[in-house]
Amino acid sequence: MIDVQALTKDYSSAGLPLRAVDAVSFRVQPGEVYGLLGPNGAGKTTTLRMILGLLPPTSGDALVGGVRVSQDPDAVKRQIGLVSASSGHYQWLSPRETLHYFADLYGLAYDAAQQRVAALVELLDLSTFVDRRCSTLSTGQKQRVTLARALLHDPPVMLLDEPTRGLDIVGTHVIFEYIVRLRELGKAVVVCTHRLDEAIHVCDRLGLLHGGRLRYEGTYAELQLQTGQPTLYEMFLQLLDKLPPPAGGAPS
Amino acid sequence: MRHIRSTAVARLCRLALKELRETLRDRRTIITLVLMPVLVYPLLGVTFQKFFLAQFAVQDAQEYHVAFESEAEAYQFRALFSEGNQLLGREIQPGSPALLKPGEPPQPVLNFMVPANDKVMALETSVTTGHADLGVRLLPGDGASRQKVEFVLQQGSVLGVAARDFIEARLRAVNDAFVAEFLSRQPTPVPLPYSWSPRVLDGVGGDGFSLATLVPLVLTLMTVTGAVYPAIDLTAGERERGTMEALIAAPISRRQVLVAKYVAVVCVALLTAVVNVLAMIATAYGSGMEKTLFCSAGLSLLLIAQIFTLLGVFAGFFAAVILAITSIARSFKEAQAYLIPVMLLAMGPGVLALMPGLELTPALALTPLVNIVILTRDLLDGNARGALALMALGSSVGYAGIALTIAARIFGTDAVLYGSAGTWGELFRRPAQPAAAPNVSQGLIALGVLFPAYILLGSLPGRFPQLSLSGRLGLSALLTLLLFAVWPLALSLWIRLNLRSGLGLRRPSLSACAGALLAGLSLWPFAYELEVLTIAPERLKVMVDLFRGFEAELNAVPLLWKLTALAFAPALCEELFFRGFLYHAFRTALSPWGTILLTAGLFGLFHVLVRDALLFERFLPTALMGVVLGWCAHRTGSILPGMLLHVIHNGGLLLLPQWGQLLGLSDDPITRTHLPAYVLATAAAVAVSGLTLLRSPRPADLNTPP
Repeated sequence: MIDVQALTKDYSSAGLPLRAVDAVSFRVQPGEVYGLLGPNGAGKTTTLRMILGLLPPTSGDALVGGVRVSQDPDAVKRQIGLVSASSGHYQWLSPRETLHYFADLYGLAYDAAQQRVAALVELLDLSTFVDRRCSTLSTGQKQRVTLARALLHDPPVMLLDEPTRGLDIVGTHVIFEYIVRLRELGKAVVVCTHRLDEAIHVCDRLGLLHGGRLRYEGTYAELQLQTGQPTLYEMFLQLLDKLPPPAGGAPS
Repeated sequence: MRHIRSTAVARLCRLALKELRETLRDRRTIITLVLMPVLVYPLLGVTFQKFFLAQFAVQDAQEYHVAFESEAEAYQFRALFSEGNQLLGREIQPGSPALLKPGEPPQPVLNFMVPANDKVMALETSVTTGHADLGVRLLPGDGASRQKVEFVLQQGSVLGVAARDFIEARLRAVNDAFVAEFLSRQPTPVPLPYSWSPRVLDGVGGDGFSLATLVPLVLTLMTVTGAVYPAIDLTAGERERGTMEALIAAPISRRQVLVAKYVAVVCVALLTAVVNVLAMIATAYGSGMEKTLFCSAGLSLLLIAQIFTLLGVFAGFFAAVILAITSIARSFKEAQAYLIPVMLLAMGPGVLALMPGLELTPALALTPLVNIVILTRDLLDGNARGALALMALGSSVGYAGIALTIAARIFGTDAVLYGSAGTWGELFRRPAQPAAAPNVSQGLIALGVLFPAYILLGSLPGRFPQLSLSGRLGLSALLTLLLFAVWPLALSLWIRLNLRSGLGLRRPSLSACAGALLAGLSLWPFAYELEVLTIAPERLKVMVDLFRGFEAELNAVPLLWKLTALAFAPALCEELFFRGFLYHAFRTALSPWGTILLTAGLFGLFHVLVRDALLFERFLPTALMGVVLGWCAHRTGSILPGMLLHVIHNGGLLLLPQWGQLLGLSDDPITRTHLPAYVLATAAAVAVSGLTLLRSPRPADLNTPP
């Protein structure tokens, strides 16, 4: 469903070249949750933005549902739902108005949009605040609205960038439960998160990014073998050169 | 209903409605929109009223210092002066200001300077030292009058001249009264050679500053104020609150999103204008200043409609400019920092437009903001001129289009969204890949640059009267080459345009060339007849007079030179621009006939606008010719047959005075007599043949738009 092929992104920072993402490649199948993990500045968000066509890659390409993002970014966007921690809301609109606005942006017919909004209100339990202005909602409520917004056009692919940032334990739990639900629906999901404990439980495969490069990739058990570290936490420390690599571990 | 909902326009309306809903729910908008006008205008009204009342009460009259050689002379003169004043209906006594009615200009005050203690004062000394503005000396009569009054004043003294004129008017009144009385005593009444009566015109006028000049500036500034907040909120605000990423992640073009925002900003700006105009009208009527603020007839529905049209154009222009600026900004604060200098800069020309005596010239009609402010002022004064008004409106719409195009290219780019460098550079960066055709934005930019340049440079030949007509024609041809050929070619090279597909510089078929040749030979009689039918007699008279003015000079110009300057250069260059660059740019977004009609309309408009005059009679023939030429370019896929057709057409009309008699025209073809029927019938037959040849199948590679 998602085929990332040697995506590379170079920036110019204060006149000096900076490689944010360096030939990152991975695949995600329908019904699979892929966890893209890494410290701050590892290149996770930049990778997601390139998959979505928000940033043009310096080289490489991404295919979503067989469509190259470089050739038809709008067709790719139609297949993706984005949930980002940095996403905000229109303060003066209600969740219902926001959802109808995005239904227009995604080209949904009015009747279809009404049905879809009603279904999402029920699915994500938005009914108690769907007609209140977004400025009055709590962080958890806003995150559920963000999820509803991303699912409005029923995309086969979901990209979640730090979806639990700023949420309490209950909110985080709701989100991860929801990710499991997405997998059951057969969607291909990429999750960028720093919640290592939760990532182990919901992600089928993991990719460890550092310095723009995908250093390790595989299931949790495969990562343990590759890194020689028993936990994700220690894998991270090793990635940051805070722990010496044990004998037998080799980068991918 | 379902169909309506599915149209692009309905979608745009819904998107714009969301933007409006979001903006109008914000209390900051309401404060700008309603509260400010509702509070500001009544306060301003009260302030102005107080100001005027205070002015009437304390206005100082001009004081003239008038010196006399003796007290006796001063006493004698005072009696004379008072008599003159009474005759003029003034009750002014020297040394005391008059009580004025509201609106009446203050009367000067004479301050008599007399020597003390029976001394004699040298008038010349008083005047040259500046102690007195004027010296008055009473002399014995010389036969022509009983007594002479000599005025002594310094050369170049404005006050001295003004004081002399003021006194002379009184002395003349005394003399006139004497003559009138003398004549009335004659046994037989003697009629006067002339009589006259004053008819004072009502309303604002004169060379002084009037409040009416403030109205357009206030309205435009308030309209801008209304547009600023929504423009910032809907662009930079999107990024600041984190909604921009979700917006750009949707499969919709940034242009569509921006147009919806543009519509919303223009609507809010217009709403602000409506509220402001209503508040201003209410204040004006409430405070009794309606005739001071608006024209003497007060406000009419037509005037209100005209003002709203202008404000609408202005709001459209400024909303586009503000959106272009705020699209660059990454935060509300940054957008404000960019806009404050722009607002201050905008005030400069606005204030300049308040200068008394400043008239709307072609150059000013092309100056953003100034053109609308002066035009609104002229509308309020009832002095607006059609040609310049159209120029001002047209240029404002053009500038708005350019600004919106720029905004669409900036809005939501990753440089703005994620803060990477190179926003401006990317905007003007040369495309890496060659282009098969220019896009609409590039077409608008080409047009937006050409329009003001055409107006400004088009008048250049006329500014060199010392040049011979041949020289002026040569200069005109050179400018045509520069504007309509060099400019689109330079732009084409910059955007790496494939000249064959992007400008239609294809080799045409033989039948296309033959068709163009026949059409060129046969269409000019119809253009000529159309002009004869549509031109007004008074307009024809003006044209004939104009032609007579330089007929001899024109006859002296070699025929080849005339053909080069008036047939070859315009035909070849205009085809390159209108049917080459513009046609292919608009064809990427419009149907063939839509493109043909649009370019033909623009072609017609360019021929109507000649310096600061509007030659409306030229529109229909040139626009119809534009349709034929556009169709020719569409059918043949090349602009070369159109060039041939255009050259022959122009040449035919140009040569009409030379061989018009052969076709049965009068001896004087400039007087526009109809062509004989057989000429028209022959032309129609040839034209049909030519157009049929042009209608031959199009080249296979042209069946899809570029």
